[in-house]
Amino acid sequence: MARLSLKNIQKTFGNFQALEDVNLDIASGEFICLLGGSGCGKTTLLRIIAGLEDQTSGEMLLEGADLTKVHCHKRNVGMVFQSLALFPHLNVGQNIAYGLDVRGVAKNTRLARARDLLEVVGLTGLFERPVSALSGGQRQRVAIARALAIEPTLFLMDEPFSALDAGLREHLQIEVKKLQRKLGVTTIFVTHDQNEAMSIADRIVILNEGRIEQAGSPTEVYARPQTRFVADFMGTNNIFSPEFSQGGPVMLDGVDLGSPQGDLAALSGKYTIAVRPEYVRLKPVSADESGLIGTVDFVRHLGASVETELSVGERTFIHTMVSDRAPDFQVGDRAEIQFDLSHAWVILS
Amino acid sequence: MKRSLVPYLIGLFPLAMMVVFFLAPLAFMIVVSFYERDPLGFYKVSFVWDNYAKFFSSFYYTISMRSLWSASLGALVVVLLAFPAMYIIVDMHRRWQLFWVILLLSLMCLSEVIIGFAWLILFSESSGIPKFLGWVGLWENPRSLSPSFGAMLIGFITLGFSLVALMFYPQMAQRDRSIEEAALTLGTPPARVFYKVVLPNFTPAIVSSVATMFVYFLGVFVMPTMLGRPQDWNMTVIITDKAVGDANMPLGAALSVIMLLFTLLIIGGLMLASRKREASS
Repeated sequence: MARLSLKNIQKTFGNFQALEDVNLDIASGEFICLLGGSGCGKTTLLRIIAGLEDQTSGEMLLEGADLTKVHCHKRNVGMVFQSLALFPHLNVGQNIAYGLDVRGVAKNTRLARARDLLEVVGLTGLFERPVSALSGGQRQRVAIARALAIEPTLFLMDEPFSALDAGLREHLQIEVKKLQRKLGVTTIFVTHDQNEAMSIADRIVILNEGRIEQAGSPTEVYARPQTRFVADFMGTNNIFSPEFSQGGPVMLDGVDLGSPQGDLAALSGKYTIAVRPEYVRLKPVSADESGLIGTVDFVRHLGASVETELSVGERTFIHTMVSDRAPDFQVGDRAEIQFDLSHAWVILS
Repeated sequence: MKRSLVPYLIGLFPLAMMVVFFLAPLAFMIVVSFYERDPLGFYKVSFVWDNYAKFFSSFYYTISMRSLWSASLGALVVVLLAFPAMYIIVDMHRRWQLFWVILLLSLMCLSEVIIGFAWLILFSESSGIPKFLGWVGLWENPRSLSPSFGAMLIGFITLGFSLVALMFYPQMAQRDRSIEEAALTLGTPPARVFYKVVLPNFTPAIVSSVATMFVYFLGVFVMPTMLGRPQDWNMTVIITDKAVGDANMPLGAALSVIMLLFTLLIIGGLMLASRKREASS
């Protein structure tokens, strides 16, 4: 277990700034998810931590000691690659024992450790099998066991489940989380899937264009995105900029959205706010058509819930409701959109 | 009905090519190997084992062993040089990669005779490397470096290098580099990653390249005659000498059949070893 501090990490590739002023403290035994879209710098940051890339500037401290000058092969990091990178010329047992072999651990000890880890990842009996004869899920487990065999100081995973089908991916997410809790190893997991990050991370770090947009617990990041990017990324689809008047009615395009509550009550002027789809209500249009009226563009049945997309002029709003309580609106219907402003918050544009 | 014949007709084309250009000449060679030599012509129709019996004389045995030795050594050296060279080239900037690939392709366009003459000049006492070494004072009494076994081997390497390097290129360029990175993160020092991970992963490709080069060098004619001494000549030179020089086509054919069997045995052995290795891993 180790505490890792990243201070002002910058990385440039020619004229391209891949990482900009990344500052992050990771506690011992913490499970961090680096979340972001393609090219946001999450894999570059992971590779810098592993020592596979050098940062252009900045400092990296592991338990207070400078990690920058330590070569990759001496950092004692266990890494699971996106391609898994299993050694094709070695069988399952030899793959897992490889790191111990390099460290000069006696053959009996390393083979025993490999067998133990095979049991931990649920692959008992596959010790002698060639890696080419394994299924996708089995290969994932071997890669995880191989990285953990060296008892790493840091456990790094670069989108390890991206190539798996949804069922297997969810199953492995739970297994990895349980294993990480059991071993208490400090883990950094890269993903572009917010659901994956939400389900396994202790803390999510959202990156955009090489910068950290927001870091926080899954609940914090989900419930209170601080920027428009994070809100979009986490699926907070209702972002708009109404006028506030210090406790007076909140107005959007001349329509009264109701009275502000909580922190919003003190605002005055135009602010960008966000409301999650589950805090939107849809009602039949009243006779005087005084509310915010939208037209249903799309209705999506997601099993447990129903998602309705409505347009108001250029704006789009999303409403979500559990299936058995969802209002019966069809595409083309008009509906009055109401926001629960007690669950709205201000975000940075 | 007509449509169902099309795949068979298409399949007949390569079969016909094989028969016309390979199996028919081979069959003819095997038949001729049992004929008798006619001092007034090429051969006399007969069925004798004499031509094969001659192979078991010490002269032909020595030539055979020498051919196998020079071809194996040449194949090993050329692969040992081309493999690491291509490993370095594929990690170069794209512009340099292109430069090297074009250079290697250009080398392949040169004929064996041109390469042989170029080395003859470079090895000559009057105008080549020996003269230069004498001029800079590194060689007191410079003399010609050819003909010699070393000169012949260098000729082999020049012939085979670009071919082997380009054989490795696509596989090497498209290899999953994260395997090497995984070895690094697991504690392998950078200098050992090549031996621990890259080399073992490329063993099948290396074995097949060695086998290809072995067969290729077993059949070269110009390099041994231009750069080698008579005692360095391989079986190909001797077969040509017997068949064309001595007009002894049956003996030439018998020696060719024996060399073909040798080659098939060695390639078969390599394939078997490779399959066993794959099955055990």
